[in-house]
Amino acid sequence: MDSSSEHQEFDYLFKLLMIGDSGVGKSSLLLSFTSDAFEDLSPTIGVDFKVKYVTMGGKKLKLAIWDTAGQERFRTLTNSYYRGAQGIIMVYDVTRRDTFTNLSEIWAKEIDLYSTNQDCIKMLVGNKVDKEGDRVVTKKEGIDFAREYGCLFIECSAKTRVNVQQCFEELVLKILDTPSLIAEGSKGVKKNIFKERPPQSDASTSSCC
Amino acid sequence: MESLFDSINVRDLLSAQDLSDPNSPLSAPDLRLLIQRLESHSLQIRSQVQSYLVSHREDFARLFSLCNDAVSQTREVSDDVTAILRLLSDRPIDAEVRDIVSEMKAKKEELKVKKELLGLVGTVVALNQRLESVREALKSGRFEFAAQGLKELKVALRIGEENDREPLVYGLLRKEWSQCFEEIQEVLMKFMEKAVRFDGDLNQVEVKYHLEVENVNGIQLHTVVEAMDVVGILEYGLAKVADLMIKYVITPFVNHGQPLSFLEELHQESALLKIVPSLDSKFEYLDGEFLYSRILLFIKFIYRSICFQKSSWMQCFGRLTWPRISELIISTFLSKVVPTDASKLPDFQKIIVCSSEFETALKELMYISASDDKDNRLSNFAENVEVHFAFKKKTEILAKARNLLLECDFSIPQEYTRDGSVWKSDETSVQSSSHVVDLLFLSERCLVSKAAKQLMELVHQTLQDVCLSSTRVALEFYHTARDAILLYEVVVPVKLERQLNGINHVAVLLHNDCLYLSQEIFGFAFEYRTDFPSSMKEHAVFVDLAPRFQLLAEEILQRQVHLVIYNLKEAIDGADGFQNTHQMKQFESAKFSIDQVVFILEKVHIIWEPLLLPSTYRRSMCTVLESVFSRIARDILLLDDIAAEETLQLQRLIYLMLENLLSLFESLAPGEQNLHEFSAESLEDFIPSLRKIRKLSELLDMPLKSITASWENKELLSCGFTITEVEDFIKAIFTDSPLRKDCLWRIQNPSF
Repeated sequence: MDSSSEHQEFDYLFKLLMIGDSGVGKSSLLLSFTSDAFEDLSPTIGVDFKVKYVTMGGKKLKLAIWDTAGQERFRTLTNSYYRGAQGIIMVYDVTRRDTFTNLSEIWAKEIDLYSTNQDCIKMLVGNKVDKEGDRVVTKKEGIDFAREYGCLFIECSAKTRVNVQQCFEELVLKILDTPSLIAEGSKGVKKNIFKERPPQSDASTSSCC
Repeated sequence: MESLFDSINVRDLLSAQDLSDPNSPLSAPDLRLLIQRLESHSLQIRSQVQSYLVSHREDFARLFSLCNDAVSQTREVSDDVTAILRLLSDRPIDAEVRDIVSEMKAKKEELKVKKELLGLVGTVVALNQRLESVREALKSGRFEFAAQGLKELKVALRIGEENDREPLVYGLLRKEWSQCFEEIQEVLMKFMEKAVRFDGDLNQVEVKYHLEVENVNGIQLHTVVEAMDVVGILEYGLAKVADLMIKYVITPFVNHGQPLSFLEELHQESALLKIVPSLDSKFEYLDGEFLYSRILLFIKFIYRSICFQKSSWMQCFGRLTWPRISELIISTFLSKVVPTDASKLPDFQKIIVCSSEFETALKELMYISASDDKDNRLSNFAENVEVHFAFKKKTEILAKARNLLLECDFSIPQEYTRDGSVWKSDETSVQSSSHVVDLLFLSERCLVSKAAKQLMELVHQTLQDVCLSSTRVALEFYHTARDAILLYEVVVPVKLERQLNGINHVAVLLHNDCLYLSQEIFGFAFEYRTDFPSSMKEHAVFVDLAPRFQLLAEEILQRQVHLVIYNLKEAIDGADGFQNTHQMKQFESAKFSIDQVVFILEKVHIIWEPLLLPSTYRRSMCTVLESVFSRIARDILLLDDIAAEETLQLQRLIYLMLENLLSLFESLAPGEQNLHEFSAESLEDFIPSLRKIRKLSELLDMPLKSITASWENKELLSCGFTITEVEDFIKAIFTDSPLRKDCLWRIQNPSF
């Protein structure tokens, strides 16, 4: 995977979300993935947006990764956050069991409620595996949750960068393998304005064309 | 003879032709001629003189005769003088007279020296006799006589003023005097030791007026003290008494676990001061009255029984004991009753009065100086206690304020950020919440940090103490209250500097804090001024502090608004001016920018609405939205060529943005207005660019004739469009044609 030097040229724009309890390491995970040897070619707006250009599967991709830093306490995130996302990364902390249980209790329900993309790819991520001595959520539990919920699964450590790249790679490759997501990434909003407001038939309009 | 007086002009002797040239040298013939003529001239002169002498022969003869007579007379006079001198110098009696006078002078000097020696011997004998009488007086017990003698001898012998040139015998006399002095000192000190004694068994001080030592009988204490005064050892003598009194009387009295008292017994030959348990145990030392009255009783005992009511002796005793007694009173009593609460200062005022009265009584007894303020040790301490208390309290208050500010994390409990309308309208929550306050000058409630609320409680408590305190303490507390408020201003913005540079709850909370503080500070004057000490009513000022916090609040809020606008403009920059949105990639970029704008606005909505006052939230959010919409509209109107598909794509982007901001628009409805009654027109009054961008989305698929008609009926003008914008917009969308020319002409030449 290489970072493209031409930030203006891309084949697809993918919107990825990172959700999960406060303190599980979402921001660290995001920074660990987006900061590499190459300079960021897109300006960072706070910690809410991270833009990264990657080449994967022969395609040039622009990844817009949205972080919910500082907003976990508001369980009523608005539609705009979830709308149009092709990938969702659900993060929990293997050393804090409540962050794992909240995924099924809270976050999964929010995805079902607000996501406008029924085909979006979901990935379960267990973070902080570098603290093996403090682990309270086993890998098997993660695998079982992922299988039940129908999502990808990986364990990683933002601190040691173990599996960080693999996490995003798997997600993006899965999106590329889903034709409906590719089509949406290319075409944007499905809504057809013409159906809502029929164009007026006027001679001026015809002469304009 | 006239020729003798004429000067000889050599030139006249020369030939006539040479006179015209004075510089010409003389020739040899001229010189010989000159010699001859000079010789001839000389002979003529000699001849004339000779003739003159001959003709005046008789006159010269008479002159010579006269001179001879004068010489003869002078010689006669000289002979007469010599004879007289010889007569005078040859008489022997004068020498004899001189010898006699010299002898008389020498005799007189001898007499003088002998008289002096005789006087010295007389003095020494007299001094020695006086010393002998002093010794006799000492032996026979006549101490006042002996003391007086020693005093006089001290002056006579110049004790302390020794002179190296005086006779050696004076040293011997001084030695004698010193021995007498030491002897009388020893005797007098023995008398004092017997006169004033402490009886440990009976726990009392006994003063004997009639004393007997060794072979001396019938000496009175008064006489002993007076003798000590005369000799100059009064301080030394009373020092022993003073030490005894401090050790056995005063210290046990002030340190005793249970109250003690004094009982005085006066007899003909003695006086007793008994130390007994006090019957007034219930009074303790509440206001110092008991303590002071008993010590005063002790001082009066000394005044009557030892100092015999003599002021100079009493002053001496005072100098020896008052520093120690006052220090004991301060350390065991005054220091312990220093109030730690402002409400108890009035009680301490009574102690100040008692201390002052006590010192006044001591002055009347001459125990302490009436003119030297240094002796007012208790009053000085009591007055200083007031200031020290105030200073200590001030330090305590400021330390507490500092801890409040540094330890607060300026976080907000979740229940306040999820749904702000609950705490804003729930009247009962004000009792249980540590974050919600009612604003003084607004009919609204405000969410503030725990630090601000607790700080204001601390300031209010301090100002209440100002009302209860004396003027000096009140002034310290007043400055303390101001300093505590200023502490917030200097500490908190620095502490939260990092947060203030981001968009977050902390910055909003700080804004609320400053708003709350400014309103509370404005209210101080109305709340407390009437109860301040009278001298402070006109000088206590708070109005200078309130505007500073008001400005700080506004500054923080504006900083947040600017940060939000900056972030939004950065997002809009990603749309690259909304060019070529009919192409897929450009449309995706523009859409991504719109998504970012919507997300940022939603985030700000989530942060601001629960925390800010409703009116403040509306004002700030409208400012932000106005900035966004005006920027986007401007970018679109700057496009100089818009393809047919582009108009549809741009329209879709605008609709997309406005649709996703509906919930945000709803949050801007005034609280008292029903949601259904809230109309788009009301919101557009606050956000003019919203009306403009909505109209722009309509224009994007409007026929040319309709656009022209909208301009002619002033609709576009009222939406904020300028004629230039409309013309450029038409040129960008519609191709050049006779119809376009006609419409542009109509726009440029309005009939209205």
